[in-house]
Amino acid sequence: MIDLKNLIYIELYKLFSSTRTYVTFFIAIALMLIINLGMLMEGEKIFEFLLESISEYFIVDGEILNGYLVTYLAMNTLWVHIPVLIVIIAASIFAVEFEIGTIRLLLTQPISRGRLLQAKVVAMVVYNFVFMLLTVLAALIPSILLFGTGDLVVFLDGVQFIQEATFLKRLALSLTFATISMIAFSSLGMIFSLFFKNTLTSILLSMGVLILSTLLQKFVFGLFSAWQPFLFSYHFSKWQLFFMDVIPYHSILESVGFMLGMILILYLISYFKFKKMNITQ
Amino acid sequence: MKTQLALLFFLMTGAILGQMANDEDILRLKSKYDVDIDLKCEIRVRINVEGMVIPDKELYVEFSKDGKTRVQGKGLSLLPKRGTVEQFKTLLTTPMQAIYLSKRGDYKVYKLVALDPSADWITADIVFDPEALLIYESVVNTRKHGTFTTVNQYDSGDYPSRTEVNFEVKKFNLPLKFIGSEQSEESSKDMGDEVNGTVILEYNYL
Repeated sequence: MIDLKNLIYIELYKLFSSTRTYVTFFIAIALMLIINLGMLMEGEKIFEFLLESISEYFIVDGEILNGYLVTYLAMNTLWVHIPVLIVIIAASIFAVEFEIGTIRLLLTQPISRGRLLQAKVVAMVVYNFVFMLLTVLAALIPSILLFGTGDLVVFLDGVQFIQEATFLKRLALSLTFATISMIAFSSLGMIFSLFFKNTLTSILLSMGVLILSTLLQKFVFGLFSAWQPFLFSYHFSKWQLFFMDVIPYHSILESVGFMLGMILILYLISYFKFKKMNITQ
Repeated sequence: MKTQLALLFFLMTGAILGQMANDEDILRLKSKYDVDIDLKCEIRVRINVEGMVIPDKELYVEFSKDGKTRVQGKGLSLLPKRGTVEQFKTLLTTPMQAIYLSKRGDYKVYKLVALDPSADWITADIVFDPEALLIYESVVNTRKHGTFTTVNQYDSGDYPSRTEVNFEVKKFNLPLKFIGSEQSEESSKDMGDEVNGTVILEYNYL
């Protein structure tokens, strides 16, 4: 019987030997660099325009456009772009095995299905951590080099000025929260790949859930506002709350609870589905 | 008839003499503040504007003769454009008509009407001490940015140690394409609303 540690090692080896894993890293890094470049070219003008109403009343001293602001803005890709990239890998972790038929070969080995599922989930979680860390570093390091550091101006419920000294702590908390969100979304991609055994179908379905969720959350006149606590996108968006002057931990913890619950439920469904799955078809 | 004419003459003479004395007060105030400002100070700024969260800041500020204000602070700092020590010179050196309104205790209340159409203020009510020639309150109506009410406190010297500036400001909002949060939708509904702002300035002159 192959133990869990070895299984995890094999899954990680497969994951990090795959070209598509590096393609997603490359796209995310390129996205962050493009955001930095765009800010370098047009950022000053945009923020002059945005803060026009403030400068009518106040003399503003200090650099509004700085590396911390660019990093914060780059994190707005968490709404759609990052989940799309992440789900490509999450969906393929299982689906590829079905598509190329290696799942049969794999299960003829002395491996329990429960352990194999655990190893794949761990690989998916590791991928999420690595992806999120790389993405944030790809936004943060070039932006600090290009723009320097400074207080952060956040446009949440008006204008909030966040002190420079607290930024990295807020970013770390926000990154942790965003990673949990992405793991929850990846779990959805994974369960679709178990049910449909096809990467493309699983990605499309996951994207469908994300688009539907975003659409319902943003629907005019708050028509579906009562549904918000059940929408993925509603909870994803809470990463921004770490950049409020007073962080509303209660609301954030509610979302963490929701997402951990989702991860657990999706894992249990995956477990029972995989246990009873007929792989001879 | 003669008695009535004499009474009218005395009343008018009294009023004219009184107005002349009042005009003298405003002229003395004007000559006091019609000087080039060359001040260096540290200002503790506390801003309380609805829709804006900004921590208190300690700023180093230079008000120089050329009319420019240099501000230095840690991180991002805001200093109100109106209501600082420069306001006295701006008000009193603009061509204006001063109208005596009333007496409030030992202080006198004047309405200033700007005669220069290019001035950014239209009228200003000022409350000042005619003995010490210190302005304690002012309500300035501007052409573009509404009304600014300023209350000053003095320790010693010609400029205030503490100033509270109250004003109305358009609520700070972003165009929708820059909004990324579910909460911001709430604030975007109030686009164009005016809210009250208060800025407290505590001076330490260097």
